[in-house]
Amino acid sequence: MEFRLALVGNPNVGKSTIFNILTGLHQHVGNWPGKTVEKKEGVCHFDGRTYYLIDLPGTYSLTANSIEEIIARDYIVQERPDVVIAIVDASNLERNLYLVTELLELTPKVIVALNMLDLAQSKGYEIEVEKLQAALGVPVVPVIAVRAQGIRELLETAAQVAQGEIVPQPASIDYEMIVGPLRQVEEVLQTVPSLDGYPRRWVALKLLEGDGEAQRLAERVLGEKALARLTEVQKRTEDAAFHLAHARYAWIEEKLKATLKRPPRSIITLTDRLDHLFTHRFLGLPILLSLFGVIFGLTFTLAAPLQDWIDAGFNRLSEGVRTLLAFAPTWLTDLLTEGVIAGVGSVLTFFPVLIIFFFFLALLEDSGYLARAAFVMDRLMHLLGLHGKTFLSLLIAYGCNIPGIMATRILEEERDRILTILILPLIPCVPRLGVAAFFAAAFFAPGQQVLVMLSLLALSLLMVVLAGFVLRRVFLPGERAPFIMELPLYRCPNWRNVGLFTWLRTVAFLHRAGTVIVAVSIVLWALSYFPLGAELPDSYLGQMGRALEPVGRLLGLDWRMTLALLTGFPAKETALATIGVIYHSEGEMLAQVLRQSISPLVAYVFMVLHFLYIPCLATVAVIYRETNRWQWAALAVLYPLLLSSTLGALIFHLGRAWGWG
Amino acid sequence: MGIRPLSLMHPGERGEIVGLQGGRGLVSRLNALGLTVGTEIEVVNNAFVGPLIVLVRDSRLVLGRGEANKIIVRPLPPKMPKGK
Repeated sequence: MEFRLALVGNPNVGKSTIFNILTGLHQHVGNWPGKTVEKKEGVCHFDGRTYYLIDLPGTYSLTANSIEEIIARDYIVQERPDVVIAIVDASNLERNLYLVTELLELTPKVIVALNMLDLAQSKGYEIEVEKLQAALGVPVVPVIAVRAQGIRELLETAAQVAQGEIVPQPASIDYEMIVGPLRQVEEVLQTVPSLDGYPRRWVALKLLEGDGEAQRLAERVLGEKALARLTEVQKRTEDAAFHLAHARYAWIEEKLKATLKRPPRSIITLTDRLDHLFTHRFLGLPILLSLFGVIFGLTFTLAAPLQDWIDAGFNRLSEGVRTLLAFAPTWLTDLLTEGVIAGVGSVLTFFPVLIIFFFFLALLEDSGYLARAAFVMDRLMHLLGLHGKTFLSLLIAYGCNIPGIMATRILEEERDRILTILILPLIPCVPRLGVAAFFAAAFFAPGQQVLVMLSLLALSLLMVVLAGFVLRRVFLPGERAPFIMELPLYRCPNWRNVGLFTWLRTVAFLHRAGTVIVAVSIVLWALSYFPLGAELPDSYLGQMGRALEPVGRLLGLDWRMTLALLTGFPAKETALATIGVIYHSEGEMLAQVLRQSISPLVAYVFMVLHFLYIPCLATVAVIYRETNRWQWAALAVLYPLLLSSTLGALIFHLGRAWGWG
Repeated sequence: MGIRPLSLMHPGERGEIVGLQGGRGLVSRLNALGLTVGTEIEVVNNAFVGPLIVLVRDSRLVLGRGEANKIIVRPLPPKMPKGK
């Protein structure tokens, strides 16, 4: 037997945790068609039944305020899942039930999953599940998602509801103040046979609330006379939204009166104490900065041995292939070793850094700290014309720009998403940091290296601010989106969640190692290998580099460095490999050769350019996919190019005027 | 002190929401989060620049300063801890 279940709920109620328990790795993450909202689907087999699950976007209501809300309600009405599971946070029942009241007006096939009951009890809440179930008129199943408790019961109840063994009879809400107008609107709607599948009463409520989508629906299906009557009722009840919200909360309060006992407010919780520190007006920022400093430091320290190990592995693989294919033509073994293996290897060496970095981030995210970080960073993010919620995207982008761009899906406003996506490429990702670290080590004394790296990071942040400021005003003018965010309670991270977050973000990076990078590595290799017998300077690639030399000269770069930048477009880390090929050396040897060939000033200019000049090919593709407009992708390529070359030329010429090189 | 925007309330102060200004979209969003007229609200954190943290209907919310300016509250007397 097969059932289709939809999960709905507010953000931070453990919806993803339940979805992850049910589906594990049998889940597919994509986008809703034509939208930048994440769509998660999965399958779960239990007790001889198959459940197809969809994780609807987290929302606080079903009014058309955001894309998420429209997606959630349209799915429920149009796709008609067998059962809708509403996940609510037991320690925050009053607010969470608001969504349930709206849901019950849309479909009766609802089960309430009462999550985090343990947490609620530890906070001093007492909930009588039986009474709550009777009051709401739909099944209520207590679950503790982080311990995978109650999941079996949830699935069993879902099957019973889907098969009609349990028929939920949701209690209806008494909208006393506007019962009259509500009935009048319902009468108006009775003039047409169907409302695209939406229940009549629900559409009537939304029309009174001033819901834009419902209004469009009414204007489409209603006759002229009916529409005039509707407008007349709406005019009379302009404060209907206020009465509706009021009636819903009054209904919730009444249902909770007999079922919920609250602790006295005087209890000071762990969350209160931690928040006092983490959101402190003066200490909040230093704590945040030191925390991320430690995370970056730990990431690179822990990853270094693993990276060496992977690097050595690929070298051995190359040698193996050479011995194994000793009979094959040289070009073939060269293609395999210098093209494919070296290309994939250079990407995979960043794998440990990313997985460790994303692991720490997931830890902070799941524990509840990142929401506080968003609060602390809000003031600084204002400089970019953005608010605190975008901070998470920026952080992830330091690992790899691609998952950073995908993380902008949590932002409600399209404009904020696009602006964030546009400035993200200026954030240096791990591969770029790696190349810069190599140059810093090659050209500067140990004491100076840290300063050089910090100056680069500060410069890129400055450029992020500048770009945010300008792009907001030139391309995306308008009011800032409201900043409203819930602060979840602190909790011990759930390993399943942390593991899955880490994995999904790393996969976004790994994916390109298997596709884009291999293809481009082969093309690059071919360009540097042909015409047959030519040395690199005379190869097609070398010719391209020399054709661009006049441009590079303006920035102090010779054709070799220009070429290195060029080959960094498909993947930033390739730049170092190219320099290696040009100078026929690697590691410390390469550093020595480079020192003789270019000045520290030119090296610094190169580092700045490499940090900022263009997002990598895979990032451009993701920008296009996420914004749905090639114009934005083009802008994301062009403005960093302009910005970085101006900056590079400025540093080079000023530096020379000061006598630095 | 009398009725004023939430943004001018001090940490620890409580009040009752008496008005929500701003467009339909913002009001609807605030309603969904439990901020309705008549609701009791407590300010947890307010540095008078940047966002605020408030407690409302058992949940902790961050509100941008712009949003907090649009929520009008009537201050309530502080609650006495039990037994004092």
